[in-house]
Amino acid sequence: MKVLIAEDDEGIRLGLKEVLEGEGYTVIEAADGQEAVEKFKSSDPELVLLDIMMPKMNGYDVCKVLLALKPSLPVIFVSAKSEEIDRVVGLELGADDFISKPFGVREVVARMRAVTRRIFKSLAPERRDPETVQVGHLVVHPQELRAKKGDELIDLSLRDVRILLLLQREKGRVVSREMLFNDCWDMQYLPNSRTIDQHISKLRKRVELDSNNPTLITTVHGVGYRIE
Amino acid sequence: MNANARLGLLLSAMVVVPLVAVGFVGWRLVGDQEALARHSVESGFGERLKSLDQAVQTIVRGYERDLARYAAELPRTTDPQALREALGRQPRTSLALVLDRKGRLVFPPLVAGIVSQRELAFLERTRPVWEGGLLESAALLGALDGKASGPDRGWIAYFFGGGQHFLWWFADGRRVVALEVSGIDLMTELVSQLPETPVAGEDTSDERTVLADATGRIVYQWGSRAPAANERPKATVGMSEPLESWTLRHFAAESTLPGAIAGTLRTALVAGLAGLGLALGAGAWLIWRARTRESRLAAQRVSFVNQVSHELKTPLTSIRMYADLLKSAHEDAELDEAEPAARHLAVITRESDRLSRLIKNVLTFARGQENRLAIARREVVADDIVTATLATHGPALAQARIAVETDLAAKASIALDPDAVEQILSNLLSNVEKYARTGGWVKVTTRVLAGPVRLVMRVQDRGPGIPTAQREQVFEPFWRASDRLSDGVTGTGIGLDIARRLARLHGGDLAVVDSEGSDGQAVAGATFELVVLAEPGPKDAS
Amino acid sequence: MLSRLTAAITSVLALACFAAAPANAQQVRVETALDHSVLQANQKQTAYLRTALTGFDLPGERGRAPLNVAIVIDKSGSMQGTKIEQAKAAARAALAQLRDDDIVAIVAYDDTVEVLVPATKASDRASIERGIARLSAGGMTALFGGVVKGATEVRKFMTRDRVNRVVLLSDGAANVGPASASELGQLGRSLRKEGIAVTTIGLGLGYNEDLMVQLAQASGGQHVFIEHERQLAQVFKEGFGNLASIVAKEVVVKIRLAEGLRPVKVLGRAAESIDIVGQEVTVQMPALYARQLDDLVLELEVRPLPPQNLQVATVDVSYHNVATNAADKVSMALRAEFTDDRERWSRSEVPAVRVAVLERVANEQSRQAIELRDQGRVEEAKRLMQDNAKTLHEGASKYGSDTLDKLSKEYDFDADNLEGEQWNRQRKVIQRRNVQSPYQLEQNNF
Repeated sequence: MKVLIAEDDEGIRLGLKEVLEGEGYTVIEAADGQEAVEKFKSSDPELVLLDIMMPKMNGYDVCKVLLALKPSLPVIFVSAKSEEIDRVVGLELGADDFISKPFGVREVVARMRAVTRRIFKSLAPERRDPETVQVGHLVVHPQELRAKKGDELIDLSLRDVRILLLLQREKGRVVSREMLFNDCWDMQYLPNSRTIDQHISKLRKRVELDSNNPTLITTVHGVGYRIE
Repeated sequence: MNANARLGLLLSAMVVVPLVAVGFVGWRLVGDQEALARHSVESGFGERLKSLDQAVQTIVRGYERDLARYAAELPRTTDPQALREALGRQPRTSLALVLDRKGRLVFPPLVAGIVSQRELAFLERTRPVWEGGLLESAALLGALDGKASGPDRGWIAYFFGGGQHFLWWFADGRRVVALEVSGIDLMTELVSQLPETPVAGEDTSDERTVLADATGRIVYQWGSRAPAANERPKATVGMSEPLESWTLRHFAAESTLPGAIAGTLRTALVAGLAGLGLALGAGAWLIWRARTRESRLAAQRVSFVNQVSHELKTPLTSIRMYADLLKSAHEDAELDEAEPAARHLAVITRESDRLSRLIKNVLTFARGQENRLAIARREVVADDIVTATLATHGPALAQARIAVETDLAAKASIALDPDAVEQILSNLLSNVEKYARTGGWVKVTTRVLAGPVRLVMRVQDRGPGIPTAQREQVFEPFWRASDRLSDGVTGTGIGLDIARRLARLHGGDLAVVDSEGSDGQAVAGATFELVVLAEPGPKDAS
Repeated sequence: MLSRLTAAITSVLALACFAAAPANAQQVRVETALDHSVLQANQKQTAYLRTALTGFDLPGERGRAPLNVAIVIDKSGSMQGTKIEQAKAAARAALAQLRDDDIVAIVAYDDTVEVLVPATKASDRASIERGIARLSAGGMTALFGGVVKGATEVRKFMTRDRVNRVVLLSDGAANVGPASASELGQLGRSLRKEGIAVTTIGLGLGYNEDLMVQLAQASGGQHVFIEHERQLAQVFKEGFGNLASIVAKEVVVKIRLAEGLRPVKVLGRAAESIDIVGQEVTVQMPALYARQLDDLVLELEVRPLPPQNLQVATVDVSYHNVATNAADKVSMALRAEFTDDRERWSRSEVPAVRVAVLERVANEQSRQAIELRDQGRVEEAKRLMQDNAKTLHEGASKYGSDTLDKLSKEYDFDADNLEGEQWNRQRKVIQRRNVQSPYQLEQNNF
């Protein structure tokens, strides 16, 4: 899923990029309002994160333009302007959410996931993932970005879902890191394998009944991973 | 209504109302003045005519003096020829009646062959006078015998042949002489002494004075104005003897002086009003400026506050975000939490949270000062907010070695501003961290009650507590338990003010209540009770 | 012997019938004569006495009297256009005739009176010009006021030695102030007493000739009829030129008749200026111009008287002599012989007197004819005029008089112009003629 981040502060923009890419989104950057509109036209993202106070064109105006181009576009305002009026204006303009700075990563992730869920809901049925997928002991709800581990409801990232679905599709077979990379990482270059391993490791911590003894996602040394 | 709009209206009224009042009254006064001036102009015309009549009188008196002289100089003879010659020599009159003391006609002689045609005609037209006894009685009643009981001279005016004729009679005790003064002669005398019309260009006044005789016929007139057919004279004056039936009429254009006076007064009035308006306007403007200066200053302050907060939030966002990223990367690395890096990170995170809260407080406080604080209600589960807030404060509370106890029963979704509630709880917890550390314990209790639907939250600690006397005071902005920096008390003192404002905006309140133990007995420590109404109250801003 | 003596005495006495006062160079020449040098004795008869006055010659410019004239101009609405422009030209022409020590004033009237130029020395030509230029027409006609104000201006510098005049120019009837002929006549009379004469100039066919004539006659001034405004300037030039040639003013002729003779009337003169009381006839005559002739004809009734040589009348002509600037008087006595000789009587006709009588009678008839015509009795008027003309024609041939001849032609013309538009014009001509000295018809005397 492509996400456009329009933010003039480089630190925050790169930080957000890192966070979102970690979530499994493909990130397109824009450093000012005008660039945001241009990048939107050229790359057609599914979601836009907009700062309000930007040079060349402020976030509100960009929002108007983008929504005129694609009325169903989900927009999240991310701004230091956090007065009630700003919220209201933003939401009135048609934005889906308003995150005020300073925010924590957790907050961003939660909002992203919420919006993503909504996006999935709005997709045509044939384009959707199935509603429920049994992956081992997990009941995965891909649309919901959640899985049920027994009674516990676990939030999953986009990538998490992709990984689980991939593994489930290849159930019994080994999924190489390369396959994982191609399928679950929208990237142009191969990250180091450590990234993939770290991610699987983190996933395991959440989905495994006992993360020290993974029963669901098993490591196939040197090759990849597998769901039994 | 916007306060500025109200002020504007008031100031406008302050300017307009006196102007209107003064203007109205002034206009009426000017109107009165004009009417007065018009009246006095017209009576001035009347006065002028009266003085003209006086001038005419002077002419007539002069005439009379001449006539008296002629009458006296007329030879005391009954010889018609001598009398004729004497009369012929006089410029002003050529005919006269002479009556003896008995009132009998002496001259002209009623003898054919002696009397001339002119004299005959004269006698004919004056018949009523000498035959009718008019002069006789005058002669008898008059100073005929030297006893001046009545007038000894006078005018007789009579009409004959369509024209007015005059006789001037003079009785000297022995005879009465009545000299004929032809109307034409009188007119000639008058006209030659009355003014003529000034030559065009020299006279700018649009007036005319008309001298009319007994029949109303214009005898003579002067002045450049040609009155319209139905124009009425501005003044009419009847003249004195012997021209009693003659009149002087004065025509003038409507607005000469009064209009000018009115114009001048009106100009003065307008100038005065303009001056007044200017003064009032200047005053109003100054007041406006002064008042709106406050607004402007406030706006500046607000924008300053906004600007500052924006400036502060931006780097703060990066700090938090990277701290989080570091942390997750750190987690990936499966490092021990006790590791220095972990601790360092924890501090960074915690302090940046705190900074964030502080900035938020300051902003809120600033808005609160401007009465621009507002809440936006959303259907939320209060417990979620509590949980999240406690999670955020977790590290800080842990670091302060404060145990957290919860009794959360606000699972129902109610309409309130989650950020506000979060801020309130956050401030309360900060206070516990700052002031109730010694208690080492904090308990958060939540309930949702009905009638009216409200959230009730309590934050209880086992700190030194708040003396009853200070239970109100603690909510005052900038009030802290101690001002002495050395006491090691931190904080700005605005937290509780903010918290209470936010609570009140929900139609609820925040207050210090008695601390109770689980058994209901009073215990040490402070308990803050927050009540937040779920229904919009009057204080909610839309 | 006695018859011869009688004849001699008779012829000598006959000579004495012509009485002429010895005139010196600077005196008005007075000639008095009866129409018959011999009267019938023992017969009641009508006789005519004529007194002729001739102005003496002024010794050049120096002798000429200084003038004191107010020009009063009608600027009523009817004068708008070329008339007022011509009036201005006339005023300028008049001004050109004046010497520096003459006094002139210019008064203009419409419904009110404006003194455009107050009485001022003619030397101040620039400001007088300015006054004339300010003349503009439009309004009614306050003729009375205009004349009075004109007289006021004349009064300012009025001295005995000056010729004091108001010259009135009007084209219309007066309608503001006194406007009747008799009233204006009264004005004229009172002005005459002061020594101010009013010369009236009627312009066009719209003025009231009766009014203008009365005003002029009563005041001892002249009357002029100008039909078209382009004649104005010339007439004014002439008139003002003639003003300067006045030699005698305030002319009063007093005729005292002897017992047995009764004055009946003075022929052909305004009644205003004539006073007949008993045996005495007083006539105020207009001013006399140099070398000009004026006369008066008195009709008288003679009682039957026995033959004798009688002083029938004394004639006193008193006037103010302009040349000497002093009062002057010429007196004479007239004698006549009464005879039973009818033949002699009829042969003793004096042509000059007869001519004068005829003129005057015709004048009277003409006045009557106007009255008839005014009453609408056109035919009667016409007949009267034609008879008039015939009588004059006969007289012209009998006495060989050019004057009578001219007059008869005029009366003929009158008779032909009694109808319609022409009557308006002709009436003015007749009126003018009637008031003018017959010897000065050609002149434009002001």
